[in-house]
Amino acid sequence: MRLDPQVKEKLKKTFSAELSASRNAVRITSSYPFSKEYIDSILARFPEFSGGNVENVVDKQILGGFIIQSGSQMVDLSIRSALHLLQKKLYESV
Amino acid sequence: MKAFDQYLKQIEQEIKTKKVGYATDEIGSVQEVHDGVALVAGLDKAGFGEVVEFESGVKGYIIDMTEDSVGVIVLGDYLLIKSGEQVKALNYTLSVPVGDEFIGRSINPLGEVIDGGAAINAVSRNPVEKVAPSVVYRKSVTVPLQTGIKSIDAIFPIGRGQRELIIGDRGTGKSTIALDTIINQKGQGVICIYCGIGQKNSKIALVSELLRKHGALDYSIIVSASASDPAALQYLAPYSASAMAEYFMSKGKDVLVIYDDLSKHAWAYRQVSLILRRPAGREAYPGDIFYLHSRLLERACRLDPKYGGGSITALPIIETLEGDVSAYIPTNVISITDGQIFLETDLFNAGIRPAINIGISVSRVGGNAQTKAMKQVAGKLKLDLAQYREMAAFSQFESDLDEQTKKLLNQGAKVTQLMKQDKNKPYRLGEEIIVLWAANKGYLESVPVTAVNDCEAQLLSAIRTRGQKLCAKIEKEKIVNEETEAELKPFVKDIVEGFVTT
Ligand SMILES: Nc1ncnc2c1ncn2[C@@H]1O[C@H](COP(=O)(O)OP(=O)(O)O)[C@@H](O)[C@H]1O
Ligand SMILES: [Mg+2]
Repeated sequence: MRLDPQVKEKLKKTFSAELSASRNAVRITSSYPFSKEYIDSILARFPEFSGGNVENVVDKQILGGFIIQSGSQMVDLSIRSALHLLQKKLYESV
Repeated sequence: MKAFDQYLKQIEQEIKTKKVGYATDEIGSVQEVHDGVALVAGLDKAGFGEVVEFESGVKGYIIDMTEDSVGVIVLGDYLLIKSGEQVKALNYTLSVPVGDEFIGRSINPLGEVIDGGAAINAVSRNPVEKVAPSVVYRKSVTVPLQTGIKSIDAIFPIGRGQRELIIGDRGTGKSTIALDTIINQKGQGVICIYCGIGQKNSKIALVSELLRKHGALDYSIIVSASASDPAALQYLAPYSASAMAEYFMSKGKDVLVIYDDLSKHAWAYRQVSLILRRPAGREAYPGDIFYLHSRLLERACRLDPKYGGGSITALPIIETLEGDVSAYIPTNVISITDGQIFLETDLFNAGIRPAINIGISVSRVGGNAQTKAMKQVAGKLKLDLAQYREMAAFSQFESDLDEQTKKLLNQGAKVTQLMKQDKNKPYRLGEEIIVLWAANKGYLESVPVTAVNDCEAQLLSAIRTRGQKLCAKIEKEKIVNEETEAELKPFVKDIVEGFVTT
């Protein structure tokens, strides 16, 4: 595709900015909406997830607790995964 | 419901005081799944060979990494995996269960039993991919591994720690040679592993039955990824067998591994690679196909006693098409091994079985391991056969030949007959030596070519009855001395005379 070099350069910048924003974006999944202060207090304990845009997603399926995710990194502290782990341990022992 | 409220309070109390540890997981999501291979986006920080777990509980391991996705071999039922499913890296590389418990059993490359018997709860595990021991740990090959097939033990001897390729078209007796070698390891203190790659399940069942019938399952393990298993599992099979072999080697044992066959292994890898959209090279194989087999066969070696002794002898098998050894995979594997036993359809059909082409077969290191007694009798044998090959072209003009040439042709034809051996009938070392000694000393001279095999059969049954002591003596002394020869002469003469026609 033929583009005006100036336009192209601008597009490139916007694109990579978008990309890095989405890479750094932090998603917190919880079973009910968290307040801004609450989210900040959580993130204060997870320094590796600070610095990006924060988005709070509500998912009743996780039962309780929360999941923090950014890029390919994830910390899963939901009740659902704890129960899954329990289930696995129970089946393993028989 | 006062009790319930109290209960909740108690939980809250406990949670408040408890410190929760957490771990950061490395995750990705499934983009595509094909025949046992999944393409996963994400997993940015996962490493090559790392095990991952799909949401559905199926595990897999990473064999390909590109800029923004990884290729994962699915270990288990890949039909359960859905697109978009979450994948978690587990932070360890793939290992398989190993141990003495597996002896006598048939398993798949993941160590799960496939013989219908009870599951095995192994305590030890070995990594599937392991860097081969470096030169420092190795020792040269000096101990023979008797195949029980007289032509191989005499002309292409194999030593413990050697890698000898068995190559030939379909139905030329490749598997038979390998299995007979396993059968012959009875009482030799060698653990045998038969690794089937892309074979029919019915064939594997026959292998298992054959080994059981000969009491060879007592020291053997069958590892198989059959033709009906995903290509990814077939790809894994030889590495898994190798991991098992390394377990026994690390215990100071001698191990024999058969890879039947590496052509199908290369096909499986090609399939996996094409799914992963790797660039295809010659014959559509990916660029690292050489490394596929070199890193596998390098793991066969003999350890220095300082590092525990033990050895892995590898007999890889390659199936050729119309005897074409210059195809890509055959040339690769030939260049990695310490020699090859080349089997030919024409010889097989002519009744020369095992159908070994003596001219182009070779064993590069086994000679050092050959017992002295075998060296004594094998030297002349090689010469006889070599001269016979040279002269055979002239044999059509027999009437014009001088006495000397006629004699050579005559001896060559008989030795060729003598090299025949039925399947599943391995010879003891002593038996091989007596039979070859008889041929060397010219006892066959007056026996007609057509009677050579009958004569040998009788000699053999005599050795197995009256000659047991003599046989044991040779095996013990590992040399044919004058005293032995004096005993051998009347013994052999007695039998051969019955076949002489005047
Ligand atoms: N030395 C032998 N004597 C008699 N039959 C043999 C011998 N070697 C192989 N066969 C027979 O030839 C057939 C093909 O042998 P196999 O080992 O399965 O070949 P491949 O593995 O090369 O395809 C089998 O039926 C086998 O029993
Ligand atoms: Mg075969």
